[in-house]
Amino acid sequence: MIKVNDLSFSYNQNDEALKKVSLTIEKGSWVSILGHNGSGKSTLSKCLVGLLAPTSGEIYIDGLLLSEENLPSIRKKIGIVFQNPDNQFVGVTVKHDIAFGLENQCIPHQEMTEKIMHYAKLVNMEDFLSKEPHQLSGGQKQRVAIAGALAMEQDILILDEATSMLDPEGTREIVELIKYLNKSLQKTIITITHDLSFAGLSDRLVVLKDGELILEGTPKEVFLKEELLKSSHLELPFGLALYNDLARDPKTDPKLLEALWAFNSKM
Amino acid sequence: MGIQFKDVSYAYRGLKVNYDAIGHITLDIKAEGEFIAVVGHTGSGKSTLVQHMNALLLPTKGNVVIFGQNLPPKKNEKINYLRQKVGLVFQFPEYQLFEETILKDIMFGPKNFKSTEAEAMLKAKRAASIVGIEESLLEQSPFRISGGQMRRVAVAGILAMEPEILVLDEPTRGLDPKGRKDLMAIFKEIHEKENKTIIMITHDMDLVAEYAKRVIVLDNGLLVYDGPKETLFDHPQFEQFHLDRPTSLKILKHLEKEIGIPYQAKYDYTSLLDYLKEVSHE
Repeated sequence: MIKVNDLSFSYNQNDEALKKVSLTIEKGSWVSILGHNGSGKSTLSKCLVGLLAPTSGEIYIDGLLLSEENLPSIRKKIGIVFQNPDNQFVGVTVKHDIAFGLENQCIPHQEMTEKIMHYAKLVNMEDFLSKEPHQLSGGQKQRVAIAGALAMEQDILILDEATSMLDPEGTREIVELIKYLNKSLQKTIITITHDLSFAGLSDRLVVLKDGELILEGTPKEVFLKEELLKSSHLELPFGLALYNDLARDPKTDPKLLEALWAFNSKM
Repeated sequence: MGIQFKDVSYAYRGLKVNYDAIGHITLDIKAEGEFIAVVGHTGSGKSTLVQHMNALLLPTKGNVVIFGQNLPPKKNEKINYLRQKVGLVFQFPEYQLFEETILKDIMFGPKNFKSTEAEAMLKAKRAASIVGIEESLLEQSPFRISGGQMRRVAVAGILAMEPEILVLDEPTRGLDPKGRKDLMAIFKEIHEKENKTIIMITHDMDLVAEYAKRVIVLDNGLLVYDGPKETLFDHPQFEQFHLDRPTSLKILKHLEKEIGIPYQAKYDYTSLLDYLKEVSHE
């Protein structure tokens, strides 16, 4: 479980990127943190993994205070995958890239090889182990980054805009992978996104606007607050917006609304 | 004039083997009035294709002709000027911002193409106003503005060179919905006001449906479709293109199947909403 109490963070004196954010993330849940560009959502994710030290407030992970001395233990619990795969590919080949974290943990060679194979398979990259980064597409690189993070076997995984660079099929694969990690491996998943249809798949949503937490709840609860979302530069998925616009018109055939609702819940 | 591809192939050189990115592409793009979406899977060769359009890449087989200039060029032939004629906005262009001020950054392009300081400044200011960057921001650092603004500054840097054709490699990727809408409105206006040809790579079929007139589909480096968007989504081989349909068409197909509303292609939100209101009121 993650507990965030009154977390504030400033990059400079005049501007607070996070303003007294408090939230709880239950063990084994999938939570999406939503917000416009510059809303503070990535800052929050960097605080959660201890890459940024909060200006004030605390973060507890499984009851352990996130502090400089606790950092080694915290990093065993929580991992992160960033948005841009080009900025996090450190290996010469796919295999070396997945191995990077494991090597730092001084894991025996045999065990390391098994883990690399296991996690490469999990992300569907087992046929690319000897490929170099320039031979891979952005989506493939991102899957390698996820495999590298998974190999650390932490309970909590943050994916910061991890699908924003993928094509629709790549996105679907990652969504299936996230569902599997969450449901079958009981990992706690935190996805940072501004894509509401993607966020709609998670258990709970947290909405940030200008560094403040303005909305929290299940996707259904949050999607009903259309005006608040709009004021946060977030947009309802196409189908939901259409449903709302038609529902506002009393002359709309209820059968049409029903069919549209069914379309939306299928997504 | 415009851009012609004649049986173009390109192979990247790996450490051990060559890696074919695109093969046997033949295309004709007019210098004016086109709005083309280039779509296809991740790794299908889209970026490789568009990087030929301003001679950043030269074909390993076949020819590209840009405004009459044949490529690959003859020995000693200068091709730099093509990059002014065809402006290419890379993916995440804000990573390439580097100057002290926004104004200087936007002026960099025109100055490279021999504009005087005064001309470059005039062009830069014009470009900044097209993308909606206010004058008061121009003396600020390009690194102290929001991601959406940085993206627009980077686009202005290309517009300031006053290219005849604009090529955009996933211009809206990573932007939030508001930023995406604002940026697309800018491109639409440039296209409509100046009749400029725009070529845009995207994965977002909703953008294709709303903005593009013509669509080029790549699959594994091969051109599998080149034609109007109206015939793409109902193409008999559509499933083999590995593409999604735009949400508007998915909804229409669903409604036809479930409650018998006649399928009529509608490509943007407003026309879909109007159509559904119309049939629902009858």
